[in-house]
Amino acid sequence: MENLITALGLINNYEVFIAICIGSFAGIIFGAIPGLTYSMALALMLPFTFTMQPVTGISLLLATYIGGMTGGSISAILIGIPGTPSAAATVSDGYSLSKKGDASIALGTAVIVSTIGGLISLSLMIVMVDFISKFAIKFGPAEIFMLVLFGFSTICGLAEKSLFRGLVAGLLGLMLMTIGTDEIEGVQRFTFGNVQMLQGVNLLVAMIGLFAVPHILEVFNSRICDEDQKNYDIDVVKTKLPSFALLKKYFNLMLRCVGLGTSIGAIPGSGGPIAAFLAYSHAKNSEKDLKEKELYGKGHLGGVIAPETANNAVTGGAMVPLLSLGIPGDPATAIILGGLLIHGLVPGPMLFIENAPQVYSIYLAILLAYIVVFLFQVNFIKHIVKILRVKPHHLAVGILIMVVVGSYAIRNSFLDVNVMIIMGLIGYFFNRIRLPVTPIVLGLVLGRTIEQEYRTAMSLSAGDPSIFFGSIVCVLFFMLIILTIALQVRKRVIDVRNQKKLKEVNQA
Amino acid sequence: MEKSKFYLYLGLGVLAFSIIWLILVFFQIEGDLGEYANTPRTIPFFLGICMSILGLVFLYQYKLGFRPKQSVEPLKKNEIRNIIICVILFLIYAYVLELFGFILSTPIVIYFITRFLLKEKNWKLNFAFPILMTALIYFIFIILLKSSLPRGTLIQII
Repeated sequence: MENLITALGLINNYEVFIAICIGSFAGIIFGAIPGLTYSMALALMLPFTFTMQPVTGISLLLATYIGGMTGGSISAILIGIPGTPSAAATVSDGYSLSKKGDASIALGTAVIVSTIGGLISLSLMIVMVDFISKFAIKFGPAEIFMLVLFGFSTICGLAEKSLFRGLVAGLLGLMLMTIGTDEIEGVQRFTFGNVQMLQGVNLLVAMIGLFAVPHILEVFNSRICDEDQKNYDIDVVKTKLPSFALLKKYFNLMLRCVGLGTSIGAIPGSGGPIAAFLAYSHAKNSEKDLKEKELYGKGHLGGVIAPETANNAVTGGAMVPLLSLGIPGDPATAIILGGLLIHGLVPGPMLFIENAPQVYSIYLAILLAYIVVFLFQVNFIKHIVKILRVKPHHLAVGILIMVVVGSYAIRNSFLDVNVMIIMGLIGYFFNRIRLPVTPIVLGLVLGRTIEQEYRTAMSLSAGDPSIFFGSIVCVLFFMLIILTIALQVRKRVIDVRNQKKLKEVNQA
Repeated sequence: MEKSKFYLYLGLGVLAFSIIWLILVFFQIEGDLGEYANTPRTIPFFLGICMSILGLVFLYQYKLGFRPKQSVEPLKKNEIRNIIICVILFLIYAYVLELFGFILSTPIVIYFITRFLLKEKNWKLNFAFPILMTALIYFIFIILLKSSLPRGTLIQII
């Protein structure tokens, strides 16, 4: 209770409120515009949290995350193109409703179920985070090492459905993290004698480069080649909230989708799109009325309610491993983890002992962000959709200014701008050859923990590697790592067999 | 169906990178691998080995005739040239930002990008957009968020 009162004091100032408003607005915009992502918005916001109070900075990031997750439904419903991958499941019914002239009610339903889904998942998150962190506090270096390794293997495997490609990206992230001064012995690594390189690759600069620069390069390249990317001209639209009776009718479905979204969000590497599609399929299959069931895909409100509830419930779920264990589940939570680290808040079980008021203020910020996002979407939707009319190359110019200013301002270093450009080129190249970028970020974020815990465990055991199999928890995580890899390899082998069969059929 | 060379190039690229990395581990980090595999070289060395194994896995996949699920798009006309232009643009903006600060350099750079690189013909937009964009970023980050923006070393306006 005392922590909650302190947290209320921390959050009760106008700077936090402004940060939440800006974050929510930016998140909705970046979420709504196809091609831009809320991960990009988070990466762009990150440098500007540097000079803020920790709670203000984290509130800005959380509001951007929540706004982005909710905003994806706007373009999915109005133009049939999901603003975020999480909103892809909303397209079929949302856009069908829009074509029938029911865009307002579809938008209103999406907004309110997103808010309800997010808030219920927030409550579940608070209970789960508390439980897991109490259990995780007993972990030693070997257990933490195996846990982080498990999180890393899951993310690399699930992020882009290709384990080996994910691993290449993840290993690259880990390699980049070793550049600079070794924190344990103070030895220089890969600095080539450059003093500025001693600080290593800045996490924020890398994130800005990886998430924002490839988009700028793509848009500029298209524009220079006279292949303009599309902007969207949308008629005036309003948000119409659904009736209480309608919400009551679907309340059970919403609760099931919240459970689904929260639990999927808590698994590192899964995230919004999987939860949304599973929820959509669950809603359709659980519909008992055959006539109603046939309407799915042709403009049924259940087809908007289920995915939108689930993808917003993912936000609460994804915060569980982040706050309790320090493992981010997706790119967005990886960036938020970066933001927490900047402000000296190290996620994990100790966070609840050392920074309990800050943790409670994070909960309050999420609550406030959902309310602000709801109010923005209900009252300002007609202004928000006007931004979809802005030409992509103008937006790209704005993003270019933000990335250069942001990466330069972090340490007032020209080297950081160069690093940002190099990371951007890596991101662009990886996108071109279909290698996932997310594992690079996770490698960068988790690299330090992996190395520190490994070396601490090895020091404690005087070089005996059996310490990594010395407890049930370690063995359990090891088995899970093997299982993750085995499942991915099995899936790939089946794919190849199917490819061969198809080839034989074609030849015949 | 023609054999895809994707995994061949990927495998060779990853293998070459890992070999360079492993060489650098011995030239760019002091000390040895240590009796207990617990020195500053241990993790970078292990990562290099893992990367080279992945390179070999890709080459093996090529040998088995694996094809990527999604095909890689070929390079567009002048794509590399355009990317180089964009990179130079980033560097120029960072340089003038360092010299003249945010307020002076941003509108000028935006004007040149929109007018000459992106060939925007609407003159009202060409003048209004740089000023509005600069003002918006300044308002959000200096006035609302009380953050900081580069001030410049030659001329300091903010």
